[in-house]
Amino acid sequence: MALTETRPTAGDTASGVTADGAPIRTQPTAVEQVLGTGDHKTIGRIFIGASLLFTASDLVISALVNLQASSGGDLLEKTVGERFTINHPLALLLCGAMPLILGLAIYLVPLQVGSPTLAFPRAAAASLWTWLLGTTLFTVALLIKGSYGGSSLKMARLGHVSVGLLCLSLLVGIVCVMVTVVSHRPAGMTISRVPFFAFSMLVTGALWLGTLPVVLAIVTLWQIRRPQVSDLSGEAGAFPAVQWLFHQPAVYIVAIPLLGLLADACGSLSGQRQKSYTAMQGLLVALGALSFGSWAQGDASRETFLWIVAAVAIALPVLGLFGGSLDTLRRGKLAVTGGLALLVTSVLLLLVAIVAGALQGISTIGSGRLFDLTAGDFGGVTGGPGVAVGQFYLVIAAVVVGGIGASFHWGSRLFKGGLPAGAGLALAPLALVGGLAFGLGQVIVGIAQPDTKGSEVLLAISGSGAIVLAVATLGAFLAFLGGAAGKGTTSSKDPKGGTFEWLAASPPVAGNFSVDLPTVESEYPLSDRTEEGAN
Amino acid sequence: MALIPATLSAPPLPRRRQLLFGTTFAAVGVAMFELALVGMYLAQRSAQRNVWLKENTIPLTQPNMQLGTLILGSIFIQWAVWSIARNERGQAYLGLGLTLLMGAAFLNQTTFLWKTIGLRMAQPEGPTFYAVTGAHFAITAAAMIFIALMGIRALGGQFSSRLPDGVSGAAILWHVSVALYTVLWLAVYIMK
Repeated sequence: MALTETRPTAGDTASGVTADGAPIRTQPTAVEQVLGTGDHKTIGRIFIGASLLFTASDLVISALVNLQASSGGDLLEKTVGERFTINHPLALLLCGAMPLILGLAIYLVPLQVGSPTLAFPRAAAASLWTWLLGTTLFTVALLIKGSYGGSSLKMARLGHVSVGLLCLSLLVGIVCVMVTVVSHRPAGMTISRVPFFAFSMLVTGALWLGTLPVVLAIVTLWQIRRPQVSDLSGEAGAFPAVQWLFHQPAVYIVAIPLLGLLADACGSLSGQRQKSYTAMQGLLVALGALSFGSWAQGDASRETFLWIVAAVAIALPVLGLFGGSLDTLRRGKLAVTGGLALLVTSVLLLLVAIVAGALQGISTIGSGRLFDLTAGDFGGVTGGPGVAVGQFYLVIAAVVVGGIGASFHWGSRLFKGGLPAGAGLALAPLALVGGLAFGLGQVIVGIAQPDTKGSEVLLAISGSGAIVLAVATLGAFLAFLGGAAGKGTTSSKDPKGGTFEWLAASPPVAGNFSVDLPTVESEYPLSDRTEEGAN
Repeated sequence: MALIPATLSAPPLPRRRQLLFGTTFAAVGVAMFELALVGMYLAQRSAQRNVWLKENTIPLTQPNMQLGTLILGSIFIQWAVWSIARNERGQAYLGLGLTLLMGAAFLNQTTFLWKTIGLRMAQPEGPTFYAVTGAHFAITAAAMIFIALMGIRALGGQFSSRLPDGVSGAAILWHVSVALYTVLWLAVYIMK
């Protein structure tokens, strides 16, 4: 065989320079490592950090929207105010809450199920970069007179397409997480023994697969129609077609993992086993079934018997899961940490959202004659403040606070030394006050239907709540950066749970586990090992 | 100097069923996407019944032939799955190849049908019709690419009775594509 190409000149590896005198690079640079990573820990950290930052900025926009409404439209230019009003729920959901949960799942699920890696790590990396691209495009379109309600046709279409891109990226990411739960479990870890958060992500994933493709289909169809500006946000346009995503039951699809996070956190802090593990998993499945909302797209579907039942009945699994978690906590030695306080706060916010939703459901009985309330919406004919808007805010607040809480609870898994311990406890009351004010201001407007002055006061409260929550989120982001910089300190209160993520080093090494995993014979394999050792 | 140390252990097998579950979940998402489009097609047709496909005729022979072609493809790819699970590699390649042939025939038939119907994008039903049928066209094309890739990997010896997941995953996507076409055939072509 003829050698037709010049053989590359070998450098002098011993001296670390090439023949030209340039240094030989044996390791990729830090930037190259991040950009080309397939490590679920790096991908998860970027997802969590970036979504916290975007959530804080989306909350500021939400505050502006509410303060604009409370000031009678004097705060912002009219077109800017309209654009922000229409787009801020999409930003909160697709650029903030959903990627925060996905980031936590990408980071924690492989550790929880004892896997050295996430399934399809390259696809997960693609999901991250596509999401970042989608978020950037959505933000650019929103700021340059575009996205829904914008006056620039090109920018409006760009915003519309970026929504599809965001849905696609989240779908790819969730498939990676689901496959990890299903096929990366070690021997002995049956589905009924999977940790609660990982199990809740399996349920959540099924719902995202049943919901986000529908949004993607709506975006695709409208894009093929080559829409004009008025088509995208008009009464029968693209934005009104996706508004069901912000209403119950679909709005709960992002909140299901909160219950899984709390159940796992209570187990690890108390050192106790969950008594009714299978029943708790059953409740998570029931919560998922009641959160499926692709069918409830039109206003008419929100007056059906099934919708009313789902609106009220969803309280049962949430209460059951909350009670089960608190029972586990009660049986152990109680140690209040920032992570736990934030996770409990998040479920309390979710319960308030469920009460608001149940009121909406009950109010529709008898064609609205039982009692009257204003549901409200973010755009279209029914656009304006109301209970549904407040409920959406409460769910978003719950997810954000829960995500922050999980970052603190599993902080020692995220970074060496964890996140700064005091920050979590300081953020909890801020998050509770901010989250409640953010949602309840709107809910009370919808229920009490006060006069203009009363509405303005309540919307100002809602806007102020968004600012407080934004401050809390920004604080969490700074704590996250502090953790990344090694400013965290491991305290004696740091949890040591019975599931596999607590076997990994802090932070986990490449391949996650430097020791052999014990055989799984129950839901808490590490507790089994400790108890065997004690005996 | 030996480039590969004698002590180097063999690479671990990919996690069993990872590709199979991944494809299944992705196929569920794809199915929801297509079904949502069909739902919107039906809603728009119901709202604009007086103008819907008044200027155009959909011949039934072509969609029926397309359905038959896809079902034949399903049989062939299942043959490939059966064969690879028994290490009958020759038969597996034949099954995959015939499925690809059926896929190519289906895509050809679809473009022919579009030409025959002559629906323009400017017509009220144009964008929705092409969104529904075009999305299915894309799904089938994606399934074919997946089958081709799995075929190449099978040729490289990656799949066998020990690890038949790739071929099984491709089969799942193909079967979902056929099931979706059945819905489309009924909703778009038969019920008109």
